Amino acid sequence: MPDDRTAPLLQVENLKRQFQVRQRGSRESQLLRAVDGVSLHLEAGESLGVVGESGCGKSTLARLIVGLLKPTEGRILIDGQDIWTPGAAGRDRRRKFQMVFQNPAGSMNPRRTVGASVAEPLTAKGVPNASEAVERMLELVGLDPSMASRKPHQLSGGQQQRASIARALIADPAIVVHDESIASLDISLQAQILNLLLDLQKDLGTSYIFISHDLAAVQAISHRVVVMYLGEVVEASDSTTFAQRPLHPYSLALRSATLLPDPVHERGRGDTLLRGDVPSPINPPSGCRFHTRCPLAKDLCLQQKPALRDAGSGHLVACHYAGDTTRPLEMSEEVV
Amino acid sequence: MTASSGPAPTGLRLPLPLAKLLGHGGGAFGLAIMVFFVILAVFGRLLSPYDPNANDYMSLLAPPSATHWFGTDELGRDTLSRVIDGSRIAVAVAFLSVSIAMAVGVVIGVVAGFFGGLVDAVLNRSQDVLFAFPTLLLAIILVAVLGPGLFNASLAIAIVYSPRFARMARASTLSIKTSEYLDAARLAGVSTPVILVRHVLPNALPPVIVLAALSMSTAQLAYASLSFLGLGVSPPQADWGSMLSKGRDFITIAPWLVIWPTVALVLLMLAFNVLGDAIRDVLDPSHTSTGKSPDTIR
Repeated sequence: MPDDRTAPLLQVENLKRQFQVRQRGSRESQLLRAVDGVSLHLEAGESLGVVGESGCGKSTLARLIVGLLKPTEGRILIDGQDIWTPGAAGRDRRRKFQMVFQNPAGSMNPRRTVGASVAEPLTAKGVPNASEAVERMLELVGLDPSMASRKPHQLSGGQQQRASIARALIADPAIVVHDESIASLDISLQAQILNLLLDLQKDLGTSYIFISHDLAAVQAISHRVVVMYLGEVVEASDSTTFAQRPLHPYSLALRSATLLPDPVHERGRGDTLLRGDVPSPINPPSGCRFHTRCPLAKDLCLQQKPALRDAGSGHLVACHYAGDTTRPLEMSEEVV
Repeated sequence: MTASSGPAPTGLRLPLPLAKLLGHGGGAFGLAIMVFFVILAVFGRLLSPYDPNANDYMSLLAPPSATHWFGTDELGRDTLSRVIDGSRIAVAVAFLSVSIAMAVGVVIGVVAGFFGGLVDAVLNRSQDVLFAFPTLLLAIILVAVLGPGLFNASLAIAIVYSPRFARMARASTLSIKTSEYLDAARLAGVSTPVILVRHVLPNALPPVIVLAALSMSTAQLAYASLSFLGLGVSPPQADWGSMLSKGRDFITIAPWLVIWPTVALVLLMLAFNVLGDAIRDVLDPSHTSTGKSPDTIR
């Protein structure tokens, strides 16, 4: 665990982003709170996993962190300095972020060569001869340098993903956000790419944020894990503690939804705990937002919103009942 | 997702578009006729048997014969020479008007789509106003204001046609705007003008090019209509539209005066149309013809 007292590399404070949405045919616009008061931090050389179902605001969070979207409220600090400071200072801070996108095929201009796309962060900075750096970077991610002259569609999915990683890393960013970047690849390739990312982290000291719905993968590669539900953080912990004992009923439910490698065990385990869809973030449920789907929910949950509280050694959870000795344990037996 | 290394057969767009176009039966046909007319337009004066404006009072309204293959008009001018000379105007107008319409429309569409908001609203509404008028009516009004002539007529047609290009460019720009490669470019720190030129424009153009080829056919017809109404080039310059207009008076006694310009007009329109369809097929990545299939010859 890194020391929390020094200024962390990345600090996100009470980040909010709202969208005005108008239903078809209606004149009133409603407020969609995609990200609603998220705080988190990340140390240099560390990885942070952000997990949640689709529609929970993960992608919006990713775009906010890298500066593609402006927050409605809250601050994003890198080395203690706001990335949305007006002028060149803020722009330079935003340059420290890079992103690897969800769809490797769509993240490169189809009409330009892979080399030109990979070189773009350097050429935009005005670095004159980027081709050498591109070659080095392509080799680093395990691609043949001759791929630089190909068009994106002439590469396989895995090669495209490696090229996007090369592009993200070429200008030496402090933080790379991976937005579901491995979800579209097959399992064997996922493992390969994840290992590659971890090796690169050791070599370059870059910090990663993994945004994903895949709890198992995120747990395996992140130092810390944050679980999001409807735009809010419901649990935050370092990943070993989290792997051993998730506290929030939503985290438990997510874990129950991961497939186990053993089919006998998998069959005997019964149904997943989570039913129904995520409620609309336009009209989130009262009190605890998870109460509509929560197996532990009581009257209190309908009325009072639980705050993030420390359940011991920095393990944060937003639930009135999580960590109670009786019921969650009962439940986790049923689950595991 | 096909996980194969080596060049995939899908979407080989830029390297050999011409070869693919020639492999496409319709494309080869359209291209051949278009090239034929362009040659006529450029070298017409050398190829035509007579001076298109020379009068031969010994043979007025002469039917097609060995000396005058397409016959002569009421002033004894050789119809073949005039049809050839008219192709100059037809080809020039088609290219000129569509180029102007495309340039103006693409700039408006890309800017409107990319920047959105008020810019989009203003540009879009102004284009809607143009769209509201019937094509030919608006062109006639514009020529009336600008004055007749080759360039003014082309300009009028260009103004009338520009909203189509703007709409199409705007639509592609909107989808490109939300693409991940544009986000990636922004993250790389690429400036907005460079993003527009390097990423948006090249990807917005292919559908516009198809529209351009198809529009040449109708632009050419629109010009012929203007010319038919006497709003084209001034006489004695030969021009298919005005030839039809004049020939109409003699349609019962000298039908060749309307037949030949019409044949030329239809042939050129057909060429542009077929070529446009072929370009669309070639640019469409889902159209994966694996080379020249012999049964596509029409």
